[in-house]
Amino acid sequence: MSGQPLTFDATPDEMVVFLSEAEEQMELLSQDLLRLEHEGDTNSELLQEIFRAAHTLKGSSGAIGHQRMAHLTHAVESVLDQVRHHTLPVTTPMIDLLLQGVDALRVLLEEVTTLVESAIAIDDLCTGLNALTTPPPVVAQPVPGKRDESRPYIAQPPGAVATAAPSAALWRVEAQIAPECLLPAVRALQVLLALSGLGTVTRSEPTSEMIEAGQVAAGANVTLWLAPHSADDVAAQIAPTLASVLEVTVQAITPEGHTVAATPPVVPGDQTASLWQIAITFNARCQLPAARALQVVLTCATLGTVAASQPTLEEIEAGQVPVDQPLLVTVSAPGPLDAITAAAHAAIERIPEVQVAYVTPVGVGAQLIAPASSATPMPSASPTPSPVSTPLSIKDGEGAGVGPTPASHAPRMVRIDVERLDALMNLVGELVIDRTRLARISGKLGQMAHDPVLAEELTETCRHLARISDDLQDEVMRSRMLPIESVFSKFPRLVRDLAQKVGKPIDFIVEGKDTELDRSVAEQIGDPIIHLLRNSIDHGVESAERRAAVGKAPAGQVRLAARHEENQIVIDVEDDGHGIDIEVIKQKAVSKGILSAEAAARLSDREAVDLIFASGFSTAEQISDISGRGVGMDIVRTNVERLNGSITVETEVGQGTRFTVRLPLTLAIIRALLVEVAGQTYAIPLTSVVEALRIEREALRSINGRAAIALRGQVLPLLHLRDVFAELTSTGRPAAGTGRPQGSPTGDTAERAARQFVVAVRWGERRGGLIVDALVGEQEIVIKPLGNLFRSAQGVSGGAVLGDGQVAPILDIATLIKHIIATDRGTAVSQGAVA
Amino acid sequence: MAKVLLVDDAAFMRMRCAKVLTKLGHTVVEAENGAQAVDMFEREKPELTLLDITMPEMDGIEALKAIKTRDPAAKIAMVSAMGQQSMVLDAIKAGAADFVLKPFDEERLVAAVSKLLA
Repeated sequence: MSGQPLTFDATPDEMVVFLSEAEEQMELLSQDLLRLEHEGDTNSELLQEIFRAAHTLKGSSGAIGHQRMAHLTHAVESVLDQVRHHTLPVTTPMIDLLLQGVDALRVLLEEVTTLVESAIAIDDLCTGLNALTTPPPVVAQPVPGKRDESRPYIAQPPGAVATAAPSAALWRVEAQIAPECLLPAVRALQVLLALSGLGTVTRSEPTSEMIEAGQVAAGANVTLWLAPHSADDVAAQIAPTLASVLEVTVQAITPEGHTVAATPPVVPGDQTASLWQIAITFNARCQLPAARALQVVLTCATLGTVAASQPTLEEIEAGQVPVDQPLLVTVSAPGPLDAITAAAHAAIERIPEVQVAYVTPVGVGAQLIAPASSATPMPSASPTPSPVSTPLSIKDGEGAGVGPTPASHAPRMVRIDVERLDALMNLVGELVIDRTRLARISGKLGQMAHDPVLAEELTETCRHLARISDDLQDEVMRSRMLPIESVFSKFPRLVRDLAQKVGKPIDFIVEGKDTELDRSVAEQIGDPIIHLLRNSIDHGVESAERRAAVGKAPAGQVRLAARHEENQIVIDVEDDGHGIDIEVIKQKAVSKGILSAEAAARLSDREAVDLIFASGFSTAEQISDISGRGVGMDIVRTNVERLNGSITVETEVGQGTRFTVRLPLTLAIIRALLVEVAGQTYAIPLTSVVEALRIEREALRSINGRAAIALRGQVLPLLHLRDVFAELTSTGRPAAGTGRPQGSPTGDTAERAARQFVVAVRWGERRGGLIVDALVGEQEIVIKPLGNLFRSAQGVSGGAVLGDGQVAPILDIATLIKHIIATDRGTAVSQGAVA
Repeated sequence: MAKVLLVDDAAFMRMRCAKVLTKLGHTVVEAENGAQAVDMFEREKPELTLLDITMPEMDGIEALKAIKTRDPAAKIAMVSAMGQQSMVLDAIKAGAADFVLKPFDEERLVAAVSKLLA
């Protein structure tokens, strides 16, 4: 019932492993199901992999005692098992049902964490899944009472010298499983086990194997034959024992006339013979009697030549071994009874779950004393005893015929907490800084060296340290990399669901799944890509009818591709839809008041297409359920840029649209333009830089009291960084970590060189120019979080460790551009207002 | 006490099984697929190998055969889920000494291991 507290059988450390593994398998399952739908059941590797995933889940969930999860995974596994054996064709309804199964499994997995039973009902799902699999043919059971007397439960040895004495009565117990019972097989098993406590269950209907295979229907009758341990009043004990099993009603307990031979026939110990029958019984709880029987027959081959067995070897191999009937093996081995019996006990009882019931002579030489009833001769059996450890090739002759296997190339994996990697990364950052300082000290020492040899040694050590720490940094960086597959893996399902929802068939192609990127980036690019995919499916791809009308394939193609380009990861989301109509975009932008009609007319095609990234712009005529819920492309762009990335769009009417997202491989290292302001180096993320230019002072305009320049026909408002950071220093907040003296805190324009540098930067669609003293160059920088000192420093987002160990503040372009705009509206602060 | 090679592609099952074995005082070495198991067997020379059947790379049956080729006396017990009877039969034919069905209870596992190491 929903809301019930749950407990699971796993220690906390086991639970961590269970959870992460289960999540992995579910992810694999849902991915592979989509591949299965796409590829059909032709890829045997895929079929095996997908089966294994379900199989592992079943095993683990069973092991922690999560019954509902084990139940559902069993149903999923059964379907996949038949699929992998090609006895069940792959269909869309099947995939639907299996995917629903995986969804339900995720909910059930959460129960492991919440320890409260969720409201999800899995019975219908299981029923649906079970209906897919053709039920295995149920072997007809002989009707009790009409039992074939030629096959007694415990066979009387042929030519028996003595009749086995009755040791106990046999009771027939009939019970009914409640019709509303959810796990009838479990109840039946409980009955079986409970009765096993009172004696030996010699037989049951359904058989214990069927019970364990779940082939018991709710409402079914279960009949068991019990040979009690003692002759006490067992009937009186049976009912109370079964009363402890829920959902089971005892119908009848009746004594049966038959007796069970539990004692060996009496034969003189020194009787010699060359043909023996060995009777072996199985423990009632024996789980795979066929496997034990096979072990017994193979072991008997070490005692002599196996002439026959009942069940026959063929039956054994087909798994047709009832646990409640003895296995009879006829062995040809000359010798006295005692010796054979001792050898049989010694050899056979090393096999778990079986006992030798008796050994009795059946013949001398090739002459049978009496033919073993229904036992079939086995002429193919080995004429000489073989050591038990040698794999016997009985049927397929393949036993040991496997050559040496190539060594495993599987990487040996260790799971590491992400936080540890982050900590490691930070420590390496510290190390790099110290290394640079050490190098500087070493350099100074070298200059005033009293001992040039020692100084040289120090320099050399520093150089070595530098190399090592560089390698270390690379390695740590690499260890944080993941294939983008970890992000992409959820998309096929998403696309499938969206395609179903909008009723457009979509052919989804994913490329470059192995492309690696830093986990910090991986964690954050999912949402922007989802939005782009939704956009492509919802707005990009036309309906099947419209595609047919223009001669395109009915299924729209959506391609998601990742690749590395230099130090960036490039992700394309491309569709072969109708493209973006530039005129429609312009009209829309004008009607939304984003720009004037004149301005729109002046836009180049590229600029016009870029309007879709403008805030407040949405191309969808009506807001659909899928995309356009107020979240537009502007948010996508903002999110991408927050990751120091960029997004561009290319489109051709009638041919399709391609969005290209470029992201740094890691958020820990970015490319930046280094600039100098008042003697301090600052870093500007390159992704925000439009261009850097040198201007003559005369080119500076003052428009409404604000500095600006004309750039490509547009007015670019400017901000003097010198003024911004002068204010910071004057209010006691240093803007640099190296403690260098800051430039003059005044806006003394007279001192400025005749030439100045302007870096045009962009945030979203807003642009501005930053006036700097000098351009230092482009460089890769390692980002360090800033301490409290800088936290409140406006215009600075972090610190960068430069190659020489110097720390350069990284400019926060978003804030600086807001400054420019605020100034533009005349509402704020003096800085930037340069005459 | 013995060295036991534990082979299962599911880390959870390895963990669970290793605990039981360690508690018995055995040394446990692990492999996560058949190919690794064969390597590991040669390197570690375990006294007992517990071999899962359903695994990637090389399944338990193949690994069993490969190990048996290298050391016909190797003691190997298959670890199998319900419903894999035919696989277990194949394994027995190929020389597996015993099998344990998953999900196993500790008692069964202990009994099987003790019996095999006796």
